[in-house]
Amino acid sequence: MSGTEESPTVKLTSGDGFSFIIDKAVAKQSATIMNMLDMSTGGFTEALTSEIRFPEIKGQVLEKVCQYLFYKHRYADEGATERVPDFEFDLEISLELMMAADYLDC
Amino acid sequence: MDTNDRERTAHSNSQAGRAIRGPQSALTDYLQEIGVSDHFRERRRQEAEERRRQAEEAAALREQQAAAAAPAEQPDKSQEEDAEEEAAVAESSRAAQRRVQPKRTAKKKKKNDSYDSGEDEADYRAGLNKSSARKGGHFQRCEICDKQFLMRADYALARLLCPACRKSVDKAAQPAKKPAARKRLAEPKPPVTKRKRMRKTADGLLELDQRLPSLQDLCVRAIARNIDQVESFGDVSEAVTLKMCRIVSKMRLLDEQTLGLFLGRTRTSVTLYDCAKLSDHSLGRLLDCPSIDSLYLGMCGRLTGARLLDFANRLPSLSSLTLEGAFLIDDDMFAEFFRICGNRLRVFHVRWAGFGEKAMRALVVNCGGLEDLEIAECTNFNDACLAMLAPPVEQSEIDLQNVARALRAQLRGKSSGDMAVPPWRALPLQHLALSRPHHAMDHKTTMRVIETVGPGLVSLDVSGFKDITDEFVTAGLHKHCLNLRELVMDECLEITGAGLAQYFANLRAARTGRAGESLECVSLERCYRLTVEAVQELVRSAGSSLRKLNLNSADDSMTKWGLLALAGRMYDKEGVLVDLSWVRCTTDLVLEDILSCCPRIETVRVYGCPHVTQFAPTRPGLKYIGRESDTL
Repeated sequence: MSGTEESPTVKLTSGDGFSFIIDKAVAKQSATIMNMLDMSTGGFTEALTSEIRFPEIKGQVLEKVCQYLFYKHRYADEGATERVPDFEFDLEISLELMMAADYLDC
Repeated sequence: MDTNDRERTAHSNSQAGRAIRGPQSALTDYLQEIGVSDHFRERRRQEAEERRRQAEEAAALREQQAAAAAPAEQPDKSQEEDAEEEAAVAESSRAAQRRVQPKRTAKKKKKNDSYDSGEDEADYRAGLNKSSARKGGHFQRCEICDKQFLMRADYALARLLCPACRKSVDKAAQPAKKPAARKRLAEPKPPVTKRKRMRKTADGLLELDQRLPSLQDLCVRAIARNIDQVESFGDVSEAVTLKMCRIVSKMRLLDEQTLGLFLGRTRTSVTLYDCAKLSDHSLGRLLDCPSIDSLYLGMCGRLTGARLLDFANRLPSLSSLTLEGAFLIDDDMFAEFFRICGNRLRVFHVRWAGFGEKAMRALVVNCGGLEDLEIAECTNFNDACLAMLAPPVEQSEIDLQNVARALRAQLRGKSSGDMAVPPWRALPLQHLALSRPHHAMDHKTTMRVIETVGPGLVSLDVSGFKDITDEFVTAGLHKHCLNLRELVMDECLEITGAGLAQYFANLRAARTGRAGESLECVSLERCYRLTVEAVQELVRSAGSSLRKLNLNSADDSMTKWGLLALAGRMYDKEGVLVDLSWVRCTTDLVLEDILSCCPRIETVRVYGCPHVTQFAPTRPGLKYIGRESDTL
């Protein structure tokens, strides 16, 4: 409760202790994070502290998720055109990434 | 030869100097616009001609040489022998030419084909004529051996080397690379061709989603592509599994190896969209999931009747079954399946199968709990089957039931104790779809069925019932189907606009007091006699609740006033779909009026509407399907 209501960034922490500090506008590409940060629905602790923990998600996966959030933030307006590069990720983490994406709704 | 050359030059001159062109078709215009031309064909033809000419010259030269050499070498041979030999030599050389020629042209052709024509076009636009370069080229001096060599293409190379020297230099530089790879490296990379780009766009259009793919979709696609390396999905939600199965099915990868991923002891619902590669035996693995209550088997042409009975016997909670293309299962097996399942069957959908009278009788007699029935495109489904949904009125129908009961009792080997026909009872149907029957369905029979099951129906699909008339709508639907939400009447050719207008007007009058209870989905595809009044009445009575409206091909007497009636009344539901394909009075202006009043329309289908152009109104989330200007 450090009065960071105005904080422009949000800290995402993975289950194995990695933290990613990213812009709120970027983080809100995920519907789940947007709901967590939404003050109008009562204000979760996450919204007050601007810090979200994902104990189920590994750091490696969360990093990829953050990369995707930036990718989506950058290219959302363009739509799926040929100008937009493909989003790359390793096949090894794809199952975990899918579960994380399922949870984060992005 | 000279005349030939002159002709050719004149021809090319006339081509090059042709500044005035006649009228062109829209296709030609369009192809020219996107840069597709047939110049390369002309050029290929010229090249082929050139080669043929050279070969002929060479052959003639060789013949002359042979003719000159023959007498000198063998002076003691007689004239006749000489003539014979000469002919033989000429013949053999010609034969050799023939043997070589096709090979060369084939090779050439192959090479030409392997090039994307885009490269040729690029050359053309840059003003570089490849064939002329091949004929002339530039003479350069090699930096290493100082030999003159012909440089064929305009490569931007760092060093000027003759082919032999370049080969050795390349070899020294990259000893590990394969020769093919080196060759590819040495040549300039062909530019990204227009065709490739178009193909990518085509893929995108097939997906029909212009938005950026979600991370879930990306993962699912990546996993589906490598499905053979996945051992199990672990703990993912049913929706994700379903999506995965959908994609795997679409890529036609669902086989015995991958089937296991979609099964599990705890699965209650199994959906397999494409069972074409699954044998009857592997479908038996579904029995390992004893808690299945809902089963969907698409394209299950290999499923046998015995396996279906296994499902009925050994999946105790199976209450919903959808079979698509179950060609091996006959009428009797379906009948037996219904007898085993009895009252627990709630949902039964069958499409493209041998579903006929016996099966229908067994269904009506045994499955008293059926709420959702779909029988689509079944070849044996006829008017008599349809009549069984209504109480029997004629003695012949009652007899039919009697005989069937007797036969069934015999089959089961029981005593004639239960031979008595149970009183007929109506099925508690809420959803009934009997679309596109292969036999004519009588108007009277249809009316009887509607009278019986109508009051409970929420959705009704009578597509392709070509004999039903306006009376079905005004008397049948209006009086009996008061709870209807979805009405699909595609290709009911006898229904007129006046009848529909009256029905919708009556509907509005009957429902004035009750808010929020109106039609949500109306499909009147190929009802050619639809009129402006009918659409106006439809919008008045159900406009605010419509989610899907299909007026496909209602072109004969439709004007823009009918379409403008749509404006302003469809605003309650999310994601409204409107199909205006082949309604040719649809224009950009009409769409602008409609879309400005209906912010929730998300999909507009406009196949065959030439007046809908790329200037049609757009907004985020709105997509056009089938617009002419989007054509690739």
